[in-house]
Amino acid sequence: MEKEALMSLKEKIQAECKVTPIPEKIDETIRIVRTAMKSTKAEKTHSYSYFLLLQIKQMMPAIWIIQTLIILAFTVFWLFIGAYHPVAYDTRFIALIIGFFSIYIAMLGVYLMVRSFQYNMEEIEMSTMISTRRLLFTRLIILVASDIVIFGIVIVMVKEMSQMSFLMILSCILAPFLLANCIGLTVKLYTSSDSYRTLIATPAIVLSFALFLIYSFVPSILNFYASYIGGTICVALFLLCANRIGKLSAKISTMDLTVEID
Amino acid sequence: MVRRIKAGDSTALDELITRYYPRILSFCYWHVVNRNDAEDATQDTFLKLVLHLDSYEQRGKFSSFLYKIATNVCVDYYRRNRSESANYRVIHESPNIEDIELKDSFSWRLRNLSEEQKEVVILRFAGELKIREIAEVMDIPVRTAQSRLRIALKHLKLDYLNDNRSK
Repeated sequence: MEKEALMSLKEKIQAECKVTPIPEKIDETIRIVRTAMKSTKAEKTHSYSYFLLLQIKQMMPAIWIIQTLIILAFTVFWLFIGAYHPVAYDTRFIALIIGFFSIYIAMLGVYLMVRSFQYNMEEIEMSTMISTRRLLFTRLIILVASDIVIFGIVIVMVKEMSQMSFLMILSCILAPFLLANCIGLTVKLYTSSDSYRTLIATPAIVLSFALFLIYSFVPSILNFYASYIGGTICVALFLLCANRIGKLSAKISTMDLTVEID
Repeated sequence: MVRRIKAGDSTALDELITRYYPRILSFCYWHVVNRNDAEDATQDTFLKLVLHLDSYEQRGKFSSFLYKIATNVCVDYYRRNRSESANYRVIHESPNIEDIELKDSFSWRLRNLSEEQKEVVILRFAGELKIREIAEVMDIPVRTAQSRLRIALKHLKLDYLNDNRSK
């Protein structure tokens, strides 16, 4: 009897608790939720890491190929010279080679960063949801990451095959690298030229030649690299680079504001 | 079904709403002031579900996730309508006066349970959730959910049996 009463109680509670819906209200809810779902999908933005990875895919494969070829050329050339002539293990020679290497890596990076300004691409980028400024910094992040890997490999190789200290190797890489970046970015900031040769090749060749002259006629400069002076020079160049990038970014922002939409 | 909805299958979405609408409506009805608010709260629940579907990691039961959303929606409605209070409500109309009184009193007893007990009863009988799911929704141990349901049923049973005897 009590079991029956309990069952009947449960049925009563169920009947009491449940509410019968109106079919039109269910249809209305379905309609509204479908619309909301469509607009949610449209508004969904990708995470920054996805955007970053997308930029790597978008970057010209030529850039990666050229960087790889430069590393290979550097390695083969150094090993080739080393097989036949002891000068390959000379500190000045090594400093010169890695200096050349850094200059060309830097110039490739500058070219990639200011690519938006070639063929008036910046106007197209500004009309999209991606800001040119955001693209610039994204490319900077990718370049810094790839350069760290490349220079890491070079430092390990040079450390294995020479008597140079880690600080000296780093300074021999960083000083020409940062100087090349400063020059490349300054050329872009203060000239309207978007010719590849003007922007990249000419300063690179001039800087390489200047480096050759300095190491040939002022070899004592290498001693400075391992000292505080070398470190200070690198820090100063780094700040100058950051200043150039900041100015380039500011220039882009000004362009963003002045674009007129018809 | 959740995977299909995330992939953009609108039929799966319709199926989900049709399946859960009555239960969510019943749940919301016991937490808000009137039927209109209950229907609005139900709609809001499904809207929020669609917005937060990505955060559902398919670890727990989907119904628990849905009821958690419904609970939060009802809390918002309660805060908004705090000044309005409904002590009890006649849900069904009946020509028989004694039936009305009986329903009223049963409904009254249901509402007079403690908040935690009422919640468990509503989730069990209106939401058709299992004890484990109820524990997940209310964020309490399973034994606590069991004990609250047992006590609630005990109170309601005593009153119900007394009513039946007096009839």
